[in-house]
Amino acid sequence: MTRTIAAPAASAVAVLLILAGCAKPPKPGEPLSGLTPDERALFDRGKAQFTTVFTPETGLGPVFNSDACAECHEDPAVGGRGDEVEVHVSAFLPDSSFCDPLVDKGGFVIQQKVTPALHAALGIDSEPQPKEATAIAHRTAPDIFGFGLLDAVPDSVILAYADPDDRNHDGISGRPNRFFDGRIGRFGRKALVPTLSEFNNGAYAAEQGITSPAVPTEETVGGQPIPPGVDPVPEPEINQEALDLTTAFVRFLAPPAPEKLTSEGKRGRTLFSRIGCAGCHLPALRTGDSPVKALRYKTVAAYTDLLLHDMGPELADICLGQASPSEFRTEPLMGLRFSNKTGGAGESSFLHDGRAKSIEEAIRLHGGEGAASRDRFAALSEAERAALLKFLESL
Amino acid sequence: MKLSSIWSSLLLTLAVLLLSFSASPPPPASPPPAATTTGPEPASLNCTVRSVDAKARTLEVITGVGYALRQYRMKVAPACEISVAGAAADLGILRPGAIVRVRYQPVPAGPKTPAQLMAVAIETVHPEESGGAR
Repeated sequence: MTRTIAAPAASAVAVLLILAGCAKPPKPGEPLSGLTPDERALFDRGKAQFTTVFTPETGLGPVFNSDACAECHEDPAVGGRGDEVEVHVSAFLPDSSFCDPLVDKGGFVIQQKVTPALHAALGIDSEPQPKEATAIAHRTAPDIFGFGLLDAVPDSVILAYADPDDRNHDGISGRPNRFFDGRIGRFGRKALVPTLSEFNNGAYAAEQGITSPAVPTEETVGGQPIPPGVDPVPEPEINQEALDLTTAFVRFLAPPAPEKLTSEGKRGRTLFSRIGCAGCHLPALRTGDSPVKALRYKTVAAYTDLLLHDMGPELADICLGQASPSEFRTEPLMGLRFSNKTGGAGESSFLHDGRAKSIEEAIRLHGGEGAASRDRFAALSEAERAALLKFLESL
Repeated sequence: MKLSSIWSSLLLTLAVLLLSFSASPPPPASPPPAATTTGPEPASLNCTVRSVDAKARTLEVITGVGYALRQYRMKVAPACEISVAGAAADLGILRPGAIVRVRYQPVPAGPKTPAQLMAVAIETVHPEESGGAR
Protein backbone atom coordinates (compact mmCIF):
# COMPACT_ATOMS: atom_id res chain seq x y z
CA MET A 1 0.00 0.00 0.00
CA THR A 2 2.74 2.35 0.96
CA ARG A 3 4.52 1.66 -2.30
CA THR A 4 1.42 2.17 -4.44
CA ILE A 5 0.82 5.55 -2.79
CA ALA A 6 4.48 6.49 -2.99
CA ALA A 7 4.66 6.15 -6.76
CA PRO A 8 1.88 8.63 -7.58
CA ALA A 9 3.12 10.93 -4.82
CA ALA A 10 6.58 10.89 -6.35
CA SER A 11 5.02 11.67 -9.71
CA ALA A 12 3.11 14.54 -8.18
CA VAL A 13 6.31 15.89 -6.65
CA ALA A 14 7.99 15.52 -10.02
CA VAL A 15 5.20 17.49 -11.71
CA LEU A 16 5.43 20.17 -9.05
CA LEU A 17 9.19 20.29 -9.50
CA ILE A 18 8.70 20.69 -13.24
CA LEU A 19 6.22 23.49 -12.60
CA ALA A 20 8.60 25.02 -10.07
CA GLY A 21 11.33 24.72 -12.65
CA CYS A 22 9.26 26.94 -14.95
CA ALA A 23 9.49 29.64 -12.31
CA LYS A 24 13.28 29.63 -12.33
CA PRO A 25 14.68 32.98 -13.42
CA PRO A 26 15.35 32.99 -17.15
CA LYS A 27 18.95 32.92 -18.33
CA PRO A 28 20.31 35.70 -20.56
CA GLY A 29 18.68 35.52 -23.96
CA GLU A 30 15.69 33.55 -22.75
CA PRO A 31 12.11 34.85 -22.91
CA LEU A 32 10.04 36.27 -20.11
CA SER A 33 8.32 33.80 -17.85
CA GLY A 34 4.60 33.51 -18.39
CA LEU A 35 4.40 34.05 -22.15
CA THR A 36 1.51 32.36 -23.92
CA PRO A 37 2.40 29.67 -26.45
CA ASP A 38 1.61 32.14 -29.24
CA GLU A 39 3.88 34.77 -27.69
CA ARG A 40 6.60 32.18 -27.21
CA ALA A 41 6.29 31.23 -30.87
CA LEU A 42 6.64 34.90 -31.84
CA PHE A 43 9.74 35.12 -29.65
CA ASP A 44 11.32 32.15 -31.41
CA ARG A 45 10.46 33.43 -34.87
CA GLY A 46 11.60 36.91 -33.84
CA LYS A 47 14.93 35.53 -32.73
CA ALA A 48 15.41 34.04 -36.19
CA GLN A 49 14.68 37.48 -37.69
CA PHE A 50 16.97 39.20 -35.17
CA THR A 51 19.84 36.90 -36.12
CA THR A 52 19.27 37.13 -39.88
CA VAL A 53 22.44 38.25 -41.64
CA PHE A 54 21.76 40.62 -44.52
CA THR A 55 23.80 41.04 -47.65
CA PRO A 56 23.66 43.72 -50.35
CA GLU A 57 21.53 41.28 -52.32
CA THR A 58 18.96 41.16 -49.52
CA GLY A 59 18.98 44.88 -48.79
CA LEU A 60 22.05 45.61 -46.67
CA GLY A 61 23.37 49.17 -47.01
CA PRO A 62 24.59 50.92 -49.09
CA VAL A 63 25.71 52.56 -45.80
CA PHE A 64 25.45 50.54 -42.61
CA ASN A 65 27.04 49.72 -39.28
CA SER A 66 26.21 46.06 -39.04
CA ASP A 67 24.76 43.25 -41.15
CA ALA A 68 22.51 41.79 -38.42
CA CYS A 69 20.82 42.92 -35.22
CA ALA A 70 22.59 40.09 -33.39
CA GLU A 71 25.96 41.24 -34.68
CA CYS A 72 25.85 44.12 -32.18
CA HIS A 73 23.71 42.42 -29.52
CA GLU A 74 25.38 39.08 -28.94
CA ASP A 75 27.20 38.70 -25.62
CA PRO A 76 26.62 36.62 -23.47
CA ALA A 77 23.63 35.58 -25.62
CA VAL A 78 21.55 36.97 -28.47
CA GLY A 79 20.21 40.29 -27.18
CA GLY A 80 23.34 40.97 -25.17
CA ARG A 81 25.98 43.66 -25.52
CA GLY A 82 28.39 44.06 -28.42
CA ASP A 83 31.91 45.33 -28.95
CA GLU A 84 30.97 47.57 -31.89
CA VAL A 85 31.35 51.31 -31.43
CA GLU A 86 29.17 53.70 -33.41
CA VAL A 87 29.75 57.30 -34.41
CA HIS A 88 27.07 59.92 -33.86
CA VAL A 89 27.26 63.64 -34.64
CA SER A 90 25.24 66.79 -34.09
CA ALA A 91 25.64 70.54 -34.01
CA PHE A 92 24.68 72.36 -30.85
CA LEU A 93 23.84 76.00 -31.36
CA PRO A 94 24.04 77.50 -27.86
CA ASP A 95 22.60 80.85 -28.90
CA SER A 96 19.28 79.27 -29.73
CA SER A 97 19.68 76.11 -27.62
CA PHE A 98 18.80 74.27 -30.81
CA CYS A 99 20.28 70.88 -31.49
CA ASP A 100 20.74 70.10 -35.17
CA PRO A 101 21.13 66.37 -35.82
CA LEU A 102 22.61 67.26 -39.20
CA VAL A 103 20.22 65.06 -41.13
CA ASP A 104 21.00 66.94 -44.32
CA LYS A 105 24.67 66.03 -43.83
CA GLY A 106 24.03 62.35 -43.14
CA GLY A 107 23.62 62.63 -39.35
CA PHE A 108 23.13 61.88 -36.67
CA VAL A 109 24.26 58.26 -37.16
CA ILE A 110 27.38 58.18 -39.30
CA GLN A 111 27.53 54.70 -40.77
CA GLN A 112 30.94 53.10 -40.57
CA LYS A 113 30.63 50.61 -43.41
CA VAL A 114 29.61 50.68 -47.06
CA THR A 115 28.74 48.00 -49.56
CA PRO A 116 31.26 47.08 -52.29
CA ALA A 117 29.00 48.75 -54.87
CA LEU A 118 28.99 52.06 -53.01
CA HIS A 119 32.74 51.81 -52.46
CA ALA A 120 33.18 51.29 -56.19
CA ALA A 121 30.94 54.26 -56.97
CA LEU A 122 32.31 56.79 -54.49
CA GLY A 123 35.62 55.36 -53.30
CA ILE A 124 34.64 55.64 -49.63
CA ASP A 125 34.88 53.09 -46.83
CA SER A 126 32.48 54.82 -44.44
CA GLU A 127 30.06 57.72 -44.45
CA PRO A 128 32.00 60.99 -44.18
CA GLN A 129 31.76 62.97 -40.96
CA PRO A 130 30.18 66.40 -41.55
CA LYS A 131 32.41 69.35 -40.91
CA GLU A 132 29.44 71.18 -39.42
CA ALA A 133 29.41 68.82 -36.42
CA THR A 134 30.21 70.51 -33.13
CA ALA A 135 30.68 67.16 -31.42
CA ILE A 136 31.37 63.56 -32.37
CA ALA A 137 30.19 60.83 -30.03
CA HIS A 138 31.08 57.18 -29.74
CA ARG A 139 28.41 54.73 -28.64
CA THR A 140 28.76 51.14 -27.52
CA ALA A 141 26.01 48.57 -28.09
CA PRO A 142 24.28 47.75 -24.78
CA ASP A 143 22.47 44.57 -23.89
CA ILE A 144 18.73 44.89 -24.43
CA PHE A 145 17.49 42.28 -21.98
CA GLY A 146 14.27 43.38 -20.28
CA PHE A 147 13.67 46.30 -22.63
CA GLY A 148 10.09 45.13 -23.22
CA LEU A 149 9.44 45.89 -19.58
CA LEU A 150 11.02 49.34 -19.92
CA ASP A 151 8.74 49.90 -22.91
CA ALA A 152 5.73 49.02 -20.75
CA VAL A 153 6.49 51.67 -18.12
CA PRO A 154 3.86 54.42 -18.51
CA ASP A 155 4.99 57.94 -19.38
CA SER A 156 3.27 59.06 -16.18
CA VAL A 157 5.73 57.01 -14.12
CA ILE A 158 8.70 58.63 -15.86
CA LEU A 159 7.22 62.08 -15.40
CA ALA A 160 6.52 61.39 -11.73
CA TYR A 161 10.27 61.09 -11.08
CA ALA A 162 11.18 64.21 -13.08
CA ASP A 163 12.34 67.20 -11.08
CA PRO A 164 13.69 69.60 -13.70
CA ASP A 165 14.05 72.50 -11.30
CA ASP A 166 15.40 70.40 -8.41
CA ARG A 167 12.60 71.51 -6.14
CA ASN A 168 13.58 68.96 -3.52
CA HIS A 169 17.11 70.40 -3.44
CA ASP A 170 18.86 67.04 -3.64
CA GLY A 171 21.10 68.20 -6.45
CA ILE A 172 19.40 65.86 -8.92
CA SER A 173 17.12 67.36 -11.55
CA GLY A 174 16.04 64.74 -14.05
CA ARG A 175 13.92 65.63 -17.03
CA PRO A 176 12.55 63.63 -19.93
CA ASN A 177 13.89 63.96 -23.43
CA ARG A 178 11.38 64.30 -26.24
CA PHE A 179 11.40 62.98 -29.78
CA PHE A 180 11.10 65.41 -32.69
CA ASP A 181 7.33 65.12 -32.61
CA GLY A 182 7.21 66.03 -28.92
CA ARG A 183 6.57 62.60 -27.38
CA ILE A 184 8.54 61.52 -24.33
CA GLY A 185 11.60 59.46 -25.20
CA ARG A 186 13.18 56.65 -23.23
CA PHE A 187 15.39 54.47 -25.49
CA GLY A 188 18.94 55.28 -26.52
CA ARG A 189 21.75 56.82 -24.47
CA LYS A 190 20.05 60.23 -24.77
CA ALA A 191 16.52 58.84 -24.26
CA LEU A 192 15.46 60.09 -27.69
CA VAL A 193 13.17 57.31 -28.86
CA PRO A 194 9.65 56.90 -27.40
CA THR A 195 8.95 53.23 -28.07
CA LEU A 196 10.74 49.94 -28.53
CA SER A 197 9.15 49.24 -31.90
CA GLU A 198 10.23 52.63 -33.24
CA PHE A 199 13.75 52.04 -31.98
CA ASN A 200 13.91 48.68 -33.77
CA ASN A 201 12.25 49.96 -36.94
CA GLY A 202 14.63 52.90 -37.09
CA ALA A 203 17.61 50.67 -36.38
CA TYR A 204 16.96 48.58 -39.45
CA ALA A 205 17.38 51.72 -41.56
CA ALA A 206 20.06 53.55 -39.60
CA GLU A 207 22.20 50.57 -38.57
CA GLN A 208 21.74 48.12 -41.43
CA GLY A 209 20.48 50.22 -44.33
CA ILE A 210 17.35 48.09 -44.54
CA THR A 211 14.21 49.91 -45.65
CA SER A 212 10.79 48.80 -44.40
CA PRO A 213 7.18 49.98 -44.37
CA ALA A 214 8.05 52.07 -41.30
CA VAL A 215 11.11 53.66 -42.91
CA PRO A 216 10.68 53.32 -46.67
CA THR A 217 13.62 55.50 -47.71
CA GLU A 218 17.35 54.76 -47.53
CA GLU A 219 19.83 56.70 -45.48
CA THR A 220 21.76 59.28 -47.45
CA VAL A 221 25.52 59.34 -47.95
CA GLY A 222 26.60 62.47 -46.16
CA GLY A 223 23.27 64.02 -47.09
CA GLN A 224 23.59 63.12 -50.75
CA PRO A 225 21.31 60.62 -52.48
CA ILE A 226 22.63 57.15 -53.12
CA PRO A 227 24.23 56.94 -56.57
CA PRO A 228 22.14 55.09 -59.13
CA GLY A 229 22.74 51.37 -59.43
CA VAL A 230 24.38 50.66 -56.08
CA ASP A 231 21.24 49.47 -54.27
CA PRO A 232 19.55 46.86 -56.46
CA VAL A 233 16.86 45.80 -53.97
CA PRO A 234 13.55 47.68 -54.32
CA GLU A 235 12.00 49.39 -51.29
CA PRO A 236 10.83 48.24 -48.84
CA GLU A 237 13.58 45.67 -48.33
CA ILE A 238 11.79 43.91 -45.48
CA ASN A 239 8.09 43.71 -44.71
CA GLN A 240 5.97 44.60 -41.70
CA GLU A 241 6.03 41.03 -40.43
CA ALA A 242 9.83 41.15 -40.16
CA LEU A 243 9.56 44.36 -38.15
CA ASP A 244 6.90 42.91 -35.87
CA LEU A 245 8.84 39.72 -35.28
CA THR A 246 11.99 41.64 -34.42
CA THR A 247 10.14 43.74 -31.90
CA ALA A 248 8.38 40.69 -30.47
CA PHE A 249 11.74 39.06 -29.79
CA VAL A 250 13.17 42.14 -28.10
CA ARG A 251 9.93 42.84 -26.21
CA PHE A 252 9.83 39.33 -24.79
CA LEU A 253 13.50 39.10 -23.81
CA ALA A 254 13.63 38.55 -20.06
CA PRO A 255 15.56 40.93 -17.85
CA PRO A 256 18.69 39.41 -16.40
CA ALA A 257 18.09 38.00 -12.96
CA PRO A 258 20.53 39.48 -10.46
CA GLU A 259 22.97 37.01 -8.94
CA LYS A 260 22.39 35.94 -5.36
CA LEU A 261 23.89 38.51 -3.03
CA THR A 262 26.47 37.64 -0.41
CA SER A 263 26.37 39.50 2.91
CA GLU A 264 29.00 41.82 1.44
CA GLY A 265 26.81 42.42 -1.59
CA LYS A 266 23.80 43.14 0.60
CA ARG A 267 25.89 45.70 2.46
CA GLY A 268 26.83 47.20 -0.89
CA ARG A 269 23.17 47.44 -1.86
CA THR A 270 22.50 49.49 1.25
CA LEU A 271 25.47 51.71 0.49
CA PHE A 272 24.22 52.18 -3.08
CA SER A 273 21.14 53.89 -1.71
CA ARG A 274 22.92 55.62 1.18
CA ILE A 275 25.41 57.51 -0.98
CA GLY A 276 22.69 58.61 -3.40
CA CYS A 277 23.22 56.39 -6.45
CA ALA A 278 19.57 55.34 -6.26
CA GLY A 279 18.53 58.96 -6.76
CA CYS A 280 18.93 58.40 -10.51
CA HIS A 281 19.50 54.64 -10.76
CA LEU A 282 16.06 53.87 -9.32
CA PRO A 283 16.14 50.25 -8.17
CA ALA A 284 12.71 49.48 -9.60
CA LEU A 285 10.15 50.75 -12.08
CA ARG A 286 6.58 49.53 -12.38
CA THR A 287 5.02 48.71 -15.72
CA GLY A 288 1.45 49.66 -16.54
CA ASP A 289 -1.36 47.91 -18.32
CA SER A 290 -0.34 45.80 -21.30
CA PRO A 291 -2.03 43.32 -23.60
CA VAL A 292 0.85 41.00 -22.73
CA LYS A 293 0.27 39.46 -19.33
CA ALA A 294 4.00 38.90 -18.79
CA LEU A 295 4.54 42.67 -19.12
CA ARG A 296 1.47 43.87 -17.25
CA TYR A 297 1.90 45.52 -13.83
CA LYS A 298 5.37 44.08 -13.30
CA THR A 299 8.23 45.45 -11.28
CA VAL A 300 11.47 45.65 -13.23
CA ALA A 301 14.74 46.07 -11.35
CA ALA A 302 16.15 48.30 -14.06
CA TYR A 303 18.15 50.76 -11.92
CA THR A 304 17.20 53.72 -14.09
CA ASP A 305 14.65 56.53 -14.04
CA LEU A 306 14.76 56.85 -17.86
CA LEU A 307 15.35 60.58 -17.38
CA LEU A 308 18.10 62.89 -18.60
CA HIS A 309 20.66 64.11 -16.10
CA ASP A 310 23.53 66.54 -16.50
CA MET A 311 26.69 64.47 -16.19
CA GLY A 312 29.15 67.34 -16.38
CA PRO A 313 31.45 68.69 -19.07
CA GLU A 314 33.95 65.83 -18.99
CA LEU A 315 31.42 63.33 -20.36
CA ALA A 316 29.64 65.76 -22.70
CA ASP A 317 29.52 64.96 -26.40
CA ILE A 318 26.59 65.42 -28.80
CA CYS A 319 23.21 66.97 -28.17
CA LEU A 320 20.16 65.04 -29.34
CA GLY A 321 16.53 66.10 -29.37
CA GLN A 322 16.17 68.22 -26.25
CA ALA A 323 19.18 66.65 -24.53
CA SER A 324 22.12 69.01 -24.18
CA PRO A 325 25.65 67.74 -24.82
CA SER A 326 26.19 66.93 -21.14
CA GLU A 327 22.80 65.31 -20.53
CA PHE A 328 22.48 61.54 -20.66
CA ARG A 329 19.72 59.16 -19.74
CA THR A 330 20.41 57.23 -16.56
CA GLU A 331 21.86 54.00 -17.89
CA PRO A 332 19.91 50.92 -16.74
CA LEU A 333 22.19 48.86 -14.54
CA MET A 334 20.34 45.59 -15.05
CA GLY A 335 22.79 43.36 -16.87
CA LEU A 336 25.76 45.44 -15.74
CA ARG A 337 27.73 42.27 -15.00
CA PHE A 338 27.78 41.40 -18.70
CA SER A 339 29.99 44.42 -19.33
CA ASN A 340 32.38 43.27 -16.63
CA LYS A 341 34.82 40.96 -18.33
CA THR A 342 37.33 40.62 -15.53
CA GLY A 343 38.75 37.13 -15.85
CA GLY A 344 36.64 36.41 -18.92
CA ALA A 345 36.80 36.88 -22.65
CA GLY A 346 36.71 40.33 -24.19
CA GLU A 347 37.30 43.71 -22.62
CA SER A 348 35.31 45.40 -19.88
CA SER A 349 33.75 48.66 -20.94
CA PHE A 350 31.31 50.97 -19.21
CA LEU A 351 29.55 54.30 -19.80
CA HIS A 352 27.95 55.35 -23.06
CA ASP A 353 31.17 55.27 -25.06
CA GLY A 354 32.99 52.46 -23.27
CA ARG A 355 35.70 54.76 -21.96
CA ALA A 356 35.60 53.29 -18.45
CA LYS A 357 37.32 49.93 -18.14
CA SER A 358 35.89 49.04 -14.74
CA ILE A 359 32.77 49.76 -12.72
CA GLU A 360 34.85 51.74 -10.25
CA GLU A 361 36.29 53.89 -13.03
CA ALA A 362 32.78 54.49 -14.36
CA ILE A 363 31.68 55.73 -10.93
CA ARG A 364 34.72 57.99 -10.65
CA LEU A 365 33.94 59.49 -14.09
CA HIS A 366 30.46 60.60 -12.99
CA GLY A 367 30.19 64.40 -12.94
CA GLY A 368 27.42 66.97 -12.81
CA GLU A 369 24.41 65.60 -10.96
CA GLY A 370 26.39 62.42 -10.21
CA ALA A 371 29.31 64.26 -8.65
CA ALA A 372 28.00 64.23 -5.08
CA SER A 373 27.47 60.46 -5.11
CA ARG A 374 30.84 60.01 -6.78
CA ASP A 375 32.49 61.98 -3.99
CA ARG A 376 30.63 60.03 -1.33
CA PHE A 377 31.81 56.83 -3.01
CA ALA A 378 35.39 58.08 -2.91
CA ALA A 379 35.00 58.87 0.79
CA LEU A 380 33.90 55.32 1.65
CA SER A 381 36.34 52.95 3.29
CA GLU A 382 38.06 50.42 1.07
CA ALA A 383 35.85 47.64 2.43
CA GLU A 384 32.70 49.69 1.80
CA ARG A 385 33.74 50.45 -1.78
CA ALA A 386 34.44 46.76 -2.32
CA ALA A 387 30.99 45.91 -0.97
CA LEU A 388 29.32 48.42 -3.27
CA LEU A 389 31.20 47.08 -6.27
CA LYS A 390 30.27 43.54 -5.28
CA PHE A 391 26.62 44.57 -5.35
CA LEU A 392 26.95 46.21 -8.76
CA GLU A 393 28.76 43.17 -10.14
CA SER A 394 25.71 41.08 -9.21
CA LEU A 395 23.27 43.03 -11.40
CA MET B 1 -10.31 6.08 -5.55
CA LYS B 2 -8.13 8.54 -3.74
CA LEU B 3 -5.23 7.89 -6.12
CA SER B 4 -7.37 8.51 -9.16
CA SER B 5 -8.61 11.73 -7.55
CA ILE B 6 -5.03 12.92 -7.14
CA TRP B 7 -4.27 12.18 -10.79
CA SER B 8 -7.49 13.85 -11.89
CA SER B 9 -6.62 16.96 -9.88
CA LEU B 10 -3.13 17.09 -11.33
CA LEU B 11 -4.38 16.69 -14.91
CA LEU B 12 -7.07 19.32 -14.32
CA THR B 13 -4.49 21.74 -12.93
CA LEU B 14 -2.22 21.21 -15.92
CA ALA B 15 -5.13 21.67 -18.32
CA VAL B 16 -6.14 24.93 -16.63
CA LEU B 17 -2.56 26.16 -16.75
CA LEU B 18 -2.25 25.32 -20.45
CA LEU B 19 -5.55 27.03 -21.22
CA SER B 20 -4.57 30.14 -19.29
CA PHE B 21 -1.28 30.34 -21.24
CA SER B 22 -3.05 30.14 -24.59
CA ALA B 23 -5.85 32.58 -23.71
CA SER B 24 -3.66 35.69 -23.30
CA PRO B 25 -4.02 38.42 -25.92
CA PRO B 26 -1.42 39.01 -28.64
CA PRO B 27 1.38 41.57 -28.25
CA PRO B 28 0.66 45.18 -29.10
CA ALA B 29 0.88 46.30 -32.68
CA SER B 30 3.46 48.74 -33.96
CA PRO B 31 2.54 52.41 -33.62
CA PRO B 32 1.14 54.20 -36.63
CA PRO B 33 3.60 56.10 -38.82
CA ALA B 34 4.24 59.74 -37.98
CA ALA B 35 2.48 61.06 -41.04
CA THR B 36 -0.42 59.78 -43.08
CA THR B 37 -1.62 60.93 -46.43
CA THR B 38 -5.25 60.37 -47.27
CA GLY B 39 -6.04 61.49 -50.79
CA PRO B 40 -6.61 65.19 -51.37
CA GLU B 41 -6.98 65.97 -47.66
CA PRO B 42 -3.89 67.57 -46.09
CA ALA B 43 -1.66 65.20 -44.17
CA SER B 44 -0.57 66.07 -40.66
CA LEU B 45 2.91 65.77 -39.22
CA ASN B 46 4.27 66.57 -35.77
CA CYS B 47 7.91 67.54 -36.12
CA THR B 48 10.66 69.93 -35.03
CA VAL B 49 11.44 73.14 -36.89
CA ARG B 50 15.02 73.16 -38.16
CA SER B 51 14.97 76.44 -40.04
CA VAL B 52 12.61 79.10 -41.29
CA ASP B 53 13.11 81.43 -44.22
CA ALA B 54 10.31 83.94 -43.86
CA LYS B 55 11.32 85.81 -46.99
CA ALA B 56 11.33 82.74 -49.20
CA ARG B 57 8.40 81.31 -47.20
CA THR B 58 10.06 77.95 -46.68
CA LEU B 59 10.34 75.72 -43.67
CA GLU B 60 12.66 72.83 -42.87
CA VAL B 61 11.45 70.25 -40.38
CA ILE B 62 12.90 67.12 -38.76
CA THR B 63 11.01 63.94 -38.08
CA GLY B 64 11.70 60.22 -38.39
CA VAL B 65 11.44 56.82 -36.78
CA GLY B 66 13.88 55.99 -34.01
CA TYR B 67 17.41 56.81 -35.12
CA ALA B 68 16.36 57.02 -38.77
CA LEU B 69 15.76 60.75 -38.98
CA ARG B 70 14.44 62.53 -42.02
CA GLN B 71 14.42 66.21 -42.95
CA TYR B 72 11.79 67.81 -45.16
CA ARG B 73 11.69 71.16 -46.85
CA MET B 74 8.25 72.68 -47.28
CA LYS B 75 6.91 75.71 -49.02
CA VAL B 76 4.56 77.76 -46.86
CA ALA B 77 1.34 78.64 -48.63
CA PRO B 78 0.46 82.37 -48.71
CA ALA B 79 -2.77 81.58 -46.89
CA CYS B 80 -1.09 79.24 -44.40
CA GLU B 81 -2.59 79.61 -40.93
CA ILE B 82 0.22 79.94 -38.41
CA SER B 83 -0.46 79.70 -34.72
CA VAL B 84 2.06 80.07 -31.90
CA ALA B 85 0.85 79.14 -28.41
CA GLY B 86 -2.71 79.46 -29.67
CA ALA B 87 -2.33 82.95 -31.15
CA ALA B 88 -2.09 83.85 -34.82
CA ALA B 89 1.50 84.62 -35.78
CA ASP B 90 3.79 85.35 -38.69
CA LEU B 91 6.08 82.70 -40.12
CA GLY B 92 9.13 84.61 -38.90
CA ILE B 93 8.09 84.01 -35.28
CA LEU B 94 8.80 80.29 -35.54
CA ARG B 95 12.21 79.37 -34.16
CA PRO B 96 14.48 76.34 -34.68
CA GLY B 97 13.67 73.72 -32.09
CA ALA B 98 9.97 74.50 -31.90
CA ILE B 99 7.73 71.45 -32.02
CA VAL B 100 4.96 72.03 -34.50
CA ARG B 101 2.03 70.30 -36.11
CA VAL B 102 2.11 70.93 -39.84
CA ARG B 103 -0.75 70.23 -42.17
CA TYR B 104 0.59 69.95 -45.69
CA GLN B 105 -0.26 68.88 -49.20
CA PRO B 106 1.93 67.71 -52.05
CA VAL B 107 2.37 70.32 -54.73
CA PRO B 108 1.59 69.02 -58.22
CA ALA B 109 4.92 68.40 -59.91
CA GLY B 110 5.93 68.47 -63.53
CA PRO B 111 7.24 65.41 -65.36
CA LYS B 112 10.85 66.18 -64.38
CA THR B 113 10.18 68.10 -61.17
CA PRO B 114 10.25 66.29 -57.83
CA ALA B 115 7.10 66.67 -55.75
CA GLN B 116 7.19 69.40 -53.15
CA LEU B 117 5.29 69.79 -49.92
CA MET B 118 3.15 72.84 -49.20
CA ALA B 119 2.33 73.71 -45.61
CA VAL B 120 -1.24 74.93 -45.28
CA ALA B 121 -1.38 75.19 -41.48
CA ILE B 122 1.31 75.34 -38.79
CA GLU B 123 0.75 75.40 -35.05
CA THR B 124 3.19 75.06 -32.20
CA VAL B 125 2.54 72.07 -30.00
CA HIS B 126 2.92 72.03 -26.26
CA PRO B 127 4.74 68.85 -25.23
CA GLU B 128 1.75 67.62 -23.25
CA GLU B 129 -0.37 67.92 -26.41
CA SER B 130 2.06 66.06 -28.62
CA GLY B 131 0.13 62.82 -28.46
CA GLY B 132 1.37 59.30 -28.05
CA ALA B 133 1.36 59.49 -24.25
CA ARG B 134 1.00 56.07 -22.72
